[in-house]
Amino acid sequence: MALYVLRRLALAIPLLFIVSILTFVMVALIPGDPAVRILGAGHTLAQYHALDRKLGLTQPILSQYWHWLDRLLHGSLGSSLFTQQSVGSEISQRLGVTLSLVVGSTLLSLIIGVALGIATAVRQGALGRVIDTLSWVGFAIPNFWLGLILIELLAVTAKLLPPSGYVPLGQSVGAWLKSLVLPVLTLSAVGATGVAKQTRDSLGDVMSSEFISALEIAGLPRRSVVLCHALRNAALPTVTTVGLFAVAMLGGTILVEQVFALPGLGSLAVQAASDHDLPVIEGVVLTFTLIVVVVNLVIDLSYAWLNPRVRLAA
Amino acid sequence: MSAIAPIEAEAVARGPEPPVPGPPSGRPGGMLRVLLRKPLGVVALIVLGGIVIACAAAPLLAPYGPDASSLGRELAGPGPQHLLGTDELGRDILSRLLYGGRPTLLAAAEATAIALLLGTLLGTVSGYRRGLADRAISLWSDVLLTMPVLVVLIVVVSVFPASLYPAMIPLGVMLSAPPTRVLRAVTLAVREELYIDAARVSGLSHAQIVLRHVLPRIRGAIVVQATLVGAVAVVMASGLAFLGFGVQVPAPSWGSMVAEAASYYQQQPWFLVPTGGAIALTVLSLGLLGDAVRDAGVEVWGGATTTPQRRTRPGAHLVALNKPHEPQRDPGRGGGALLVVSNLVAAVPGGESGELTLVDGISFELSAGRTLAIVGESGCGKSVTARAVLGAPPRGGWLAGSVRFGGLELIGASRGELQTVRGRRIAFIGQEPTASLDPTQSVGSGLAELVRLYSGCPRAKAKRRALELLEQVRINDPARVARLYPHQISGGMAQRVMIARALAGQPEVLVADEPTTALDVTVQADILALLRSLQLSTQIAILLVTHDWGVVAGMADEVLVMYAGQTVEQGPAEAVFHSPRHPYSDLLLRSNPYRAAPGMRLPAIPGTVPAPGRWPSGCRFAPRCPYALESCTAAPIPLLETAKGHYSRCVRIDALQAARAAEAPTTETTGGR
Repeated sequence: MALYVLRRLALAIPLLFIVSILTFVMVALIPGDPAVRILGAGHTLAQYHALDRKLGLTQPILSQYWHWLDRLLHGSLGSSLFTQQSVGSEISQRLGVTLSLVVGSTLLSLIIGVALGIATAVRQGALGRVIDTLSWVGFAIPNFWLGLILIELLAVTAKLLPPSGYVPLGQSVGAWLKSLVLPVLTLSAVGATGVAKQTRDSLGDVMSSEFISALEIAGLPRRSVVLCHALRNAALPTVTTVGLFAVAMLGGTILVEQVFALPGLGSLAVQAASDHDLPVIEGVVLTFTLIVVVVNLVIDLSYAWLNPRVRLAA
Repeated sequence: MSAIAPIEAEAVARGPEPPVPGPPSGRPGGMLRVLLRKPLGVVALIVLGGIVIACAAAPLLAPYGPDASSLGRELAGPGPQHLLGTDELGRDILSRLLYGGRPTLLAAAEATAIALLLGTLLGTVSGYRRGLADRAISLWSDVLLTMPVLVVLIVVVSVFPASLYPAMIPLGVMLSAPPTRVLRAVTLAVREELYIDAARVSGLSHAQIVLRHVLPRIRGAIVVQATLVGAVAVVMASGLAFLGFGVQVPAPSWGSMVAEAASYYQQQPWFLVPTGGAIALTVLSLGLLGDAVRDAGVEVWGGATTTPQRRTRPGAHLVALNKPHEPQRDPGRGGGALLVVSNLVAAVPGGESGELTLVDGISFELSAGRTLAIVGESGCGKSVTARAVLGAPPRGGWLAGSVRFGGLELIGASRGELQTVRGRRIAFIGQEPTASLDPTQSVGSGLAELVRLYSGCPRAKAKRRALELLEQVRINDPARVARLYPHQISGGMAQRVMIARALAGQPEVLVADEPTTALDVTVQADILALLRSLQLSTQIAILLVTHDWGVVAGMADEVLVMYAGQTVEQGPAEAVFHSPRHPYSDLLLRSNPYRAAPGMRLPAIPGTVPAPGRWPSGCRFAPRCPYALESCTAAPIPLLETAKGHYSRCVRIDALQAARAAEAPTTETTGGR
């Protein structure tokens, strides 16, 4: 199993390469000039050339990439062109916010989605059709809009929760949880309804298979047939869906962090993109890609855990 | 970000091989017509069409210009002058929404077009050519799916800050991954069809085959993907605008209007409603339209429908079934029988009258240590009868009549009552042993689960008992087999495991529904020998469903021959073998390969079993019967006792026996047990 994990991680390395090259090339196309922006109005040509050289921007793009890669292999992501702060420390400060959001909304989507899916698959009825439509409603409501509505209803009007901001976990667990409730709810709307639909569909398929009727005819109580046997077999497509939504919600954090003024990676990405801050953009893109790789790895590992065929082939 | 999840989820839900959408002649008109019968689809189409047309015709329809502001009317709620209110500068929200829809929808359309073109091209090439191209394209899609879409878009938008359109190119490329995957799978399925081979043999080039034969078939799937990708693109385009990318103030766009509303929600919460609502309504109608198109495609092209048949209320049919059944001698009534089945009826919804009868008044009884075999061709209702004995109705259907077991009536019994009988007192083994085992559970753990359920004993003891059971069904090295999963064992082994599972509750009756049909001949003999020895040691009663006279000869004490849902002959095995009293039994025995003379043509019964709902009104076998007279079809034939304990539903027994007597030397049988 350890070998399997290592192999999967090794496969991720070329992917990270491709993504980093693509980002580099794209950022190189940005017409704005960071040196000009840093110096502001009223600088001399000499100042400009000096800064340009200092930032390494006079070199061809390929050697700029090479330098970046060389630094990366030595464990450094470089530093921001503007704040001079190390990109690595900037990212690690903000990673907690984004991860709290992604992990929280993935878990919430999983719990609500699977529960709703079971309820509607076992009791075939009108509720099932409602779920099909609801999954589209969940997707159709833009999360940045839903966030604003939730702020209006639960923070401004009902005054139950803080409207925005983030409290680190280390400072106060209760306040941390409170600051996460609204953004996590916002992010989970898509995931919970989507997972519910998927669970309902795949559970419905499994429930009509031969081994389920064999278990029922062997006198197993309905509860253990559904919860112990059908659910485990229906879990594979459900887990795949949860993974896809986890990746989707990772992207969603960019918008949601903006709405709730959370200091996460998404707001860093938006800031860096407006500033043409190449090292920061590279760092954030790489981190996002790495998170996606980890999510996919977790999904693959849970396949192996859930399905003996995958496990024994690995 | 990958908001691609819903599209991908769709692909996951449909499995690796989506139903092939449509025969070569699938007409687009037919699909549109079916779509128009779906209310949700029609509503979605009207809403979407309305939004697109209204935005396109904004200069004509909008009551105000996009930038015209009425002073003193800032942040007004909805009213007669401004139907949707005004924004912070007193501009009409409705007008700005109409104008603002244009960049949003155009950008989404651009990304959708790119994604579909690319997805269709790569998907069909990948599915059609397979091989290296397929692998390269799959890898490419995997890379695309791992890209943080929104971050990439933000980078691109900062290159071209004035407009959303350049950013839609990479968005289109990244969104092409899900359609590529789905269309690849659909193409793979279409490619296997014969007419594609025919086209290839007739000399069409690959490009021609794809254009003329593959693309028309996958049209439906492309339309579904278009709605899904379009929905994602609208969300992405407005998300970028919300973040302030690709927007030129003061020109309106949906996303930037939500951002404006966000800044003023404390003064005027209403501002949020129409701005976000426009996005939500558009995406929702795209999504629902996609669902409706997919469902319409399934209907038109006759793919597997997933919607279950509508169930009629059980009450209604029970009244219908209580019509007086023919007054018949009841072979299922007697003293010490363990299991007494009388006048068993099973039906499912369907047909013209709303119900299809599958089993039509079967009666029999079974005592400890005895074996009753139910014989007949496929589709006679044997398996339905077998499951009914455990109180299990056919899928979506219902049961009537009576199954009495140890003082308990199983027809109409509650789930709880049935659970006290199923497995513990009556056990069942089916014809597909491998499919009957949970693929995610090891043999030993499944067996131990049942032992614990039936006896409530602790885990360790259940585990030991599971190994004993495996040994009892003559599995060598039970400890090793217990650790295996269903896909790792052979069919014969799986059937032994099923028998072990059946024995776990120490039942009094074993119902075996064609237990050897799916197995190799040599394994069949082993399984039957096992059942026989178990019967000797445990005195278990066996109800055996089979179409194999060899099995009957080896196992049965009594035989019940079923035809078209009815008993046509019933009696001691010996008697039925030596002197069958129904032409159907006679012909079945003659068509048995064990009895065929070498070199002779194996006689087969002409015709097929009529489907439920198409049963003739008189003798149901008459159309296939060599002895049939007109009187046979006039009225239902009763089941009568023709010799002691030997029943037949035939009025031409004399003719049958005369014919058999004439060819006496060949009527030798393989005998009873």
